[in-house]
Amino acid sequence: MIRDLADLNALEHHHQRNCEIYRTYALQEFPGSGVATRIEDFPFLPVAAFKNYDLKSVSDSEVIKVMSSSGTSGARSQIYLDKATARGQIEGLTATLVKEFGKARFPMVFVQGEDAAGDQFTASKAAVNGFSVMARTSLVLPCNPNESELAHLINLSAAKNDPPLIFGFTYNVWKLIGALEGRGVSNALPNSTILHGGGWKKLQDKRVSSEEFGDRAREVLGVSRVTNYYGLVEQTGSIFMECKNGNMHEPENGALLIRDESTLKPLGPGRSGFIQVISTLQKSYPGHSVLTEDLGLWIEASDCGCENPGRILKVIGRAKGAEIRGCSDAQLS
Amino acid sequence: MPSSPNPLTLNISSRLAENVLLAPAQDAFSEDRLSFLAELSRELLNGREFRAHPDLVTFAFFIRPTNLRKYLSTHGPLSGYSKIGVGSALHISPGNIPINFAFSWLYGFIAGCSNLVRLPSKPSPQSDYFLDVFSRLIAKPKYKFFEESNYFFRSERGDPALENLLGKVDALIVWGGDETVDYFRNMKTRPDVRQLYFPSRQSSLIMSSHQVLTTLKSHFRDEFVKNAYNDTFLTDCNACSSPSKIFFIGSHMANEKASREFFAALEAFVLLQGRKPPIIQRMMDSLASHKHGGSDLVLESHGVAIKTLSPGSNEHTGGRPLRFGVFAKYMLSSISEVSAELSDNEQTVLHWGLPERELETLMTDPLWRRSSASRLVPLGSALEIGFFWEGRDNPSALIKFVQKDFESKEIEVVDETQSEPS
Repeated sequence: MIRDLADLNALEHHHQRNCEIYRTYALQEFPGSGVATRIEDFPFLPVAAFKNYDLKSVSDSEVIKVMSSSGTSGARSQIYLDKATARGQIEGLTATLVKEFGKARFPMVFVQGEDAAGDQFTASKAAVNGFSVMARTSLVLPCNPNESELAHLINLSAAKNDPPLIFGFTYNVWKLIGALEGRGVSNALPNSTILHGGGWKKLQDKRVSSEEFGDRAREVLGVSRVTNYYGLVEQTGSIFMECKNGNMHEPENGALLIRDESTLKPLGPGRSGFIQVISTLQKSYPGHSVLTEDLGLWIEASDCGCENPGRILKVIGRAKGAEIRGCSDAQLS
Repeated sequence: MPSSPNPLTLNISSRLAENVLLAPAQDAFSEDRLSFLAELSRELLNGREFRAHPDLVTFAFFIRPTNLRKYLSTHGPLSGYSKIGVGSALHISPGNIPINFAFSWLYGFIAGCSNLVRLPSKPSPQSDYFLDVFSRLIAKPKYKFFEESNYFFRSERGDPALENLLGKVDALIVWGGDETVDYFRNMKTRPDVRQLYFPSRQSSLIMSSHQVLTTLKSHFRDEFVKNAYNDTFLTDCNACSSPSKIFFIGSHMANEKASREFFAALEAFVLLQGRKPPIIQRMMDSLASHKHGGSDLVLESHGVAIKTLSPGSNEHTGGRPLRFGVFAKYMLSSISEVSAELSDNEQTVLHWGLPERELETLMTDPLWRRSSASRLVPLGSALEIGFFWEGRDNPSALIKFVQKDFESKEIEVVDETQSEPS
């Protein structure tokens, strides 16, 4: 949760000054926004903007990496990172991880999808980079491992007193579970923990509930804890981590708003709408305030019982995009 | 809804498409075609679930005999000519207006053509329902010829089978934006192909500010605002005939007040509807407008769904698309100032509360005459598509006028043997 808006106001000013596309946008859609005194008064970008435009607030020479999304729903977002932003994202992830799992480093298993093979710097690779800081040992595992890769995984279970943390995008972890199940593997990594997030859409399409995901993970991998998180490639470093009570909380460096689907006005607790996420980490691109295409609602942290003071996010699912009518941009196919 | 795949939506390479090309052209406006349309109208109107789709209702009413006779009354027999369809017509319909393909087909059908109709790639309840009713009807033995000469299909852009058809048809009817029109203009077609294009257009609404204010206070308020909504947000302010430029005519004070109250009333009506206004699409347009000096644009907000810009104070309005709830707002003292503000690709000009004589005067303005405007119709009529569209009689453009004179020319035969020697 963001308590002091000064950093965010400075970030907003920085992006409006250095990203012409964003400045044009903000002036037209949020005229006179000036210095915001409430978090809901900051301009926000639709997440699709990153799929259609090269949005950056630094010079080309300062860009060290271009990160792309997993592209689960079509076009990929392009995220331009400079040194400071990349470092800030890793620090943000580490802080969240430490808060949830403690300072001790542990063995980590990174489950990767098919997109890991290419040269592109994907969100999945960024997550591996970020979380590696916390790893004592790392095993990068494809979601459909061969025999030798599987043997490496099983070997990890030998160290029973040092159970690993398994990290991957939800769909990739699900594919790994299926692949292991197909080979008759069960209880592969007793007492381990799964940290997974993103890509729920594919599982929803397959009608896999979070309960079924957890049950199969416990059976096949032998995990004792399944932790989900919510985050966007556009805001790597600011993730909503599930606490022990199963609630996803606002990160320290981020904020959550829910906006009405018709009016985009901010909504109070318990009311569903578009999820808007705000973060203070994005300096090289204007991704500090993003309106997602996901639907959700927020409830007060006091309803949880854990000590995390951040608002709780309940994700409902992907918004059904209404088809645009009219002939002005009639499509051929 | 139909429970099985529609038999009409077969692959384009089917021999059925070739059969359509071979079907002989028929008489335009023939009785058997009118009977078929009357039956199609009845069948469409019989459907229970059909009532949920006003665009289908409009089409079904449009093809009723009374409406068709009204149109045909302007097309009496032409002495010395037969009117027959030009031959095979290929229709390319837009992807995001579900029932547009049916109107396009109608132009060709009533003209006596055989028809190949490319459907929107995405099925819609309306198109499924139409095709279901249509296929049941043409299965009747009496309509066998229509079954063989009308074919609906889906295809990808660049499909070789589609390109093959393009080179063979006698008429090409293309709906869509300029990009679509350009694409098909550059395709190989027969040299004598008849081409009807429906490119990108813009439209306007001119209103008497005094009448706007009066109406908003009267019991006609709801109907007035609903008409404005139907002409704009029903198609996400994104149809060629939806007004994107709003002209308020009157004194400075009246214009300011009418503008404020009109947009407030429309905004409130939009938010009352179940459908989400296209705010996010509008935001994406704002991102695009940086290429056109967009950072100089000042958009006035009228709530959440509507924003306006005032061309008088904005130099670069040309690049910003006027759609998805962004309107250009003009404050004029007289209707005579309207013509100068019409777009290069103007289509429909809607009016409200203006005396007939002023509208007549507008139509005699040299600038109006030079413009592409082809409709001056009341508010509430923006989407009422007819046989006359784009300033032309579309079925007639698909007719071949065959001159006929069955009598031999009288020749005066001179018998030279009978002639007297000179």
